[in-house]
Amino acid sequence: MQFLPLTADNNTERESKSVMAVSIIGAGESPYTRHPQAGTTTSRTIADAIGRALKDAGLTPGDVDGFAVSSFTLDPDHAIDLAWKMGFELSWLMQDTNGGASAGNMLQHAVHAITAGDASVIVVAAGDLMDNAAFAKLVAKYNSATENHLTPLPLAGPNALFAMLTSRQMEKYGLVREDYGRIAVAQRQWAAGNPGAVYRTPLTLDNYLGAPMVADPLGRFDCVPPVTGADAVVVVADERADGKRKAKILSVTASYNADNQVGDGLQTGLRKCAPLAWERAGVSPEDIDVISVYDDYPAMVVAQLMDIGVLADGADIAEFIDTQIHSRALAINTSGGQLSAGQAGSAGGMHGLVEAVQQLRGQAGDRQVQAKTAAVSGYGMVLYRHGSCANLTVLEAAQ
Amino acid sequence: MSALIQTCTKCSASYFPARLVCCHCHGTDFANDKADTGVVETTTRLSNGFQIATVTFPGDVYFIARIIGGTADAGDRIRLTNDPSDDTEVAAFVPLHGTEL
Repeated sequence: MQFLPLTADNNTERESKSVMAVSIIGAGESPYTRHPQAGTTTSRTIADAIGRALKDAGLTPGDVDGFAVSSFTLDPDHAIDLAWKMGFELSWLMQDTNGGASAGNMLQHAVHAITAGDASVIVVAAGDLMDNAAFAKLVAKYNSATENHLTPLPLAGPNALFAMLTSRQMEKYGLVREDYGRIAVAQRQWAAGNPGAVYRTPLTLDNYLGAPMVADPLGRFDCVPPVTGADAVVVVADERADGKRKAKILSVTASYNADNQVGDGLQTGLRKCAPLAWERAGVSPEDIDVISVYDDYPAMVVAQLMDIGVLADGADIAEFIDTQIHSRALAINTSGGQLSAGQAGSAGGMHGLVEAVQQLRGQAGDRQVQAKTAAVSGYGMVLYRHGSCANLTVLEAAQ
Repeated sequence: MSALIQTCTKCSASYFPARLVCCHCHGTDFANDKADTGVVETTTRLSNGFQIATVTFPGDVYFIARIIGGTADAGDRIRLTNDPSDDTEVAAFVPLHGTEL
């Protein structure tokens, strides 16, 4: 399936160049954990991340006038319950359901809310209590198509679906397990510099290849470890930034249901929305210093890097993985990504955004890279066979 | 028994899982049709031993199925069934559609 990219030409009402003056001035992540302590709740976990992000921004709950949240496990509460319990008095409120694409979606809306004057300090958050029971419930009842057609197979989660997608990618591009392993190994090396990652001990290619198979060709280290955790950022109109170091939002574009679940799933909606993101941002894929790409599986890292133009169509993918990703010449998923840091439910996409903001603001500690620009992809919501939601955010460091 | 797909009564486009509106002609009337056989496109083996497959059917239909009554390889034409106990010979089990709308 080939996607016609969104462009300024076929979106004539849109500006072709970024005119937004909206930035992220704070980011925070609650400590990720594979085994949450008794008494841990989704609300407290998200509140923890929000508190860290506000502190990072030098703001208090009283400064917040906009709030967006995404969570699979907040039920029966909603965004307004959390706002109430956090003490937010708001003029703008949003709840998002787009899983791995939730961060980009909420950010896209938040930018427009600020640009329109509906709010000036927006907290965007995502998180989940994701213990074994919550994970089993989530994947069994992910949507009605899953509940009716996948869970009865039985299938407990998307590993088999992405195993088959990975096989198709291997066949199409001549890739082998070692190629994917080099991505996992590199991300684990990045994770060593991230105290918040749940897996930080070095991973060798032999460890990767020798791990138990989950769904061939996927082994244990191809699959993200579910964790309990939350992430949050503080998005403000530039006049509220008060000279703080900022991650200026150059563009956010999105594509949803780009392929009706037809075809091989090897191209994501990013193929469609990325060109407009680069055009609006006024930068090119090769200008990007830090990339957070949604890494639910290594094959999706490859697919999305191709879709956003960092990995050129027709390039030698195995060589790119070896010389750019495995060598860490390119700063991709510098937190360790979800593969090493963990997947905190609907915070999976927000995790990469928090990492990009911390890199641009010089807060990335032992894994800090020289970074002026960053790109963050979101991908998620498997309707039946593969993800259906995608978005790309382009950021720039500014004072 | 066969797998069941949804066919647009106006333009004959085929769907699985079921949709509310035909994305080709925007029609809203659908019939349930039997899909007796498909072609195995990709397979994977889970750690519990189950073989899961993507099975294609004419009209851009892709089933996610469990192979029962044997094993299957990519390229095989395979019988489709919505009954997981229908395993006296190899088949692709596709849980019934039609309950989610």
